[in-house]
Amino acid sequence: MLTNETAPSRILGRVGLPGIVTRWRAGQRWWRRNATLAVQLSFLALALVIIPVVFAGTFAPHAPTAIDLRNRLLPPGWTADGTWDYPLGTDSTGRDILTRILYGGRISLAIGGIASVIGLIAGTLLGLISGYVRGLVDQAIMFLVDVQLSLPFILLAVAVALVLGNSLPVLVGIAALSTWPHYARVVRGVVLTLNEREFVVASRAVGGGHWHIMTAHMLPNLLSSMLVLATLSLGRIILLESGLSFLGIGVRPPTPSWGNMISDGRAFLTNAPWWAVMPGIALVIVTMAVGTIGDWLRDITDVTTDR
Amino acid sequence: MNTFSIRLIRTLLTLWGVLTLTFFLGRLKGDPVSLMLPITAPLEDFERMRAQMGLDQPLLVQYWVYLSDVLRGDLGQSIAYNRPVAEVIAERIPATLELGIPALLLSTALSIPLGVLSAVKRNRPIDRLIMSLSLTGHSIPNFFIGIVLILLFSVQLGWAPSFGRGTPAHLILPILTLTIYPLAFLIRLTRSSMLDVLHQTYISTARAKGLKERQVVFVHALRNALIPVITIIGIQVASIIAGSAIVETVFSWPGMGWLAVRSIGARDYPVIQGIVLMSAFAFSVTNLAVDLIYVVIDPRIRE
Repeated sequence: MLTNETAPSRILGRVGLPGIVTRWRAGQRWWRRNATLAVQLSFLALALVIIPVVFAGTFAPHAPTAIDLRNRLLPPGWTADGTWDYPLGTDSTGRDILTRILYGGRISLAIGGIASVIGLIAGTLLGLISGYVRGLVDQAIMFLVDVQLSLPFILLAVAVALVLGNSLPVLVGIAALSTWPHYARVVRGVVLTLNEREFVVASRAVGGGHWHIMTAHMLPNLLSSMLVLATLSLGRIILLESGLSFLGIGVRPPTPSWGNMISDGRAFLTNAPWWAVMPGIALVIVTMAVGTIGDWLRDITDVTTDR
Repeated sequence: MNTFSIRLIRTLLTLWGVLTLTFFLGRLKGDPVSLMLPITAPLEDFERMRAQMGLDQPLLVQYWVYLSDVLRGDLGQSIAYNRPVAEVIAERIPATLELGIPALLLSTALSIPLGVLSAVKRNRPIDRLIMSLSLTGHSIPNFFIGIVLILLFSVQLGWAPSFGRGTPAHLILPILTLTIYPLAFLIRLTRSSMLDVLHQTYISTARAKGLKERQVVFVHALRNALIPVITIIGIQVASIIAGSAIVETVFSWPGMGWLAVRSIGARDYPVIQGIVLMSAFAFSVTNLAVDLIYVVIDPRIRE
């Protein structure tokens, strides 16, 4: 009814092979105009980490828990005492650091991804209801947001982990719990402005139901905010998970995660600094790349986030 | 003053919410005693402890007793120390403040000039440099910052001790570690707030009047740009409390955060509950104070 014919949608409208070529060219032009060098590097770095992590079984030179007692605390391959059998060195029981980083990355990224999606769905839904229904429901949901944001989250996580134990589902739950208030707040703010927009008023006037208005008219307008928030929260969750694993309430050994590897390596800082430093570098590459991409998405979509 | 009393009521409500949350969290798995005693403890111990803690009472009665105890300043009994929780926590507060207050001051004092510089030199090399450093500070987990600092300044250079508390030298690395995250965050905030203000019409007016750029930036722009920055300092308190749990663990610094982490191993739920409450209280009070300052410095919201 109120479609706004913009340039990309005209391009996307063409079909067939010429259409695909035009679309590809338009995409390239758009990419060159909008993606800065830092953003391009971030995508590259992310791909270089994520692909080997996902296919850890193929890329990893050893098994993640394989012990080699003759090669304990071996330094990385490029040093005088190292061998390229263990490119990033070994830990105190001779396990390969590179292999454990790849397998640990699987856990860290899986927790981050799953928790991000759960938090996204819950937070968006609650924010949508809060902004659309208003009144007492809105007050109640925003009260919960306030309560949670008035707690240093890591302490709440410590309390939850003590009560429920530190299994993987609990960890995912804690991580998801940490993100929902951010989604709820931002989504509610967008919905409040959408309430007054012509297409929502029009739909209401012709008898559009609440569910129809929320899903057909509001949700598509929330997608860019959701994308930006999901990217930013992914980085935050990876940091949180590593922090919890570091405190000993996250992923339990011998399953590797970046956080518990750094934690284990801490005792060997003087004689085997690579043990703690290598997984730390992997972690920082991912969080920096995700952060750069998140900021970039926020700038090009003009979404306001609360932090 | 009406806005302020509304804020006060909201703060009290939020604190009540936190109290309720921690109470029911402790009873989520039924019996908190099972959280505190090892599974191998004899049955009589369980019974004795239940009676001692009033757990044979109905849940709502327990809740009521808990609320009134907390209002009287009684946070319960620590399992590991066998002393009142309030006492155990109070002993740890000075150590936490020793790190937290310098970190808060340092991050605020450094971030404002850096943020202003970044905004004024927007898109120049110096802005790019400051912003990438800020992004880096934002992306490194603070325990890893601590480890890298230990590696650099204790292991390699031997300039500062890596753990423990005692001499002023012990303060350097933990304070530095605790400062980086809020610093990175505040730089970004000051920059964006400053950029917003620099686009306002009164800035163009000030420039048109022929004022020096220095005066425009520091007199006209900065004063207004600092308003949102001040409100965020309240949030910084939360991030420093949260950060101290990890930083104190890295440096074996015997503060509140260290106590919280130690209490996990000892299954000392009352202590963790007390620390959560204390942090929420500190955070809420700071935010209330910030709101009060906000009303004083920004005449627009006084009516």
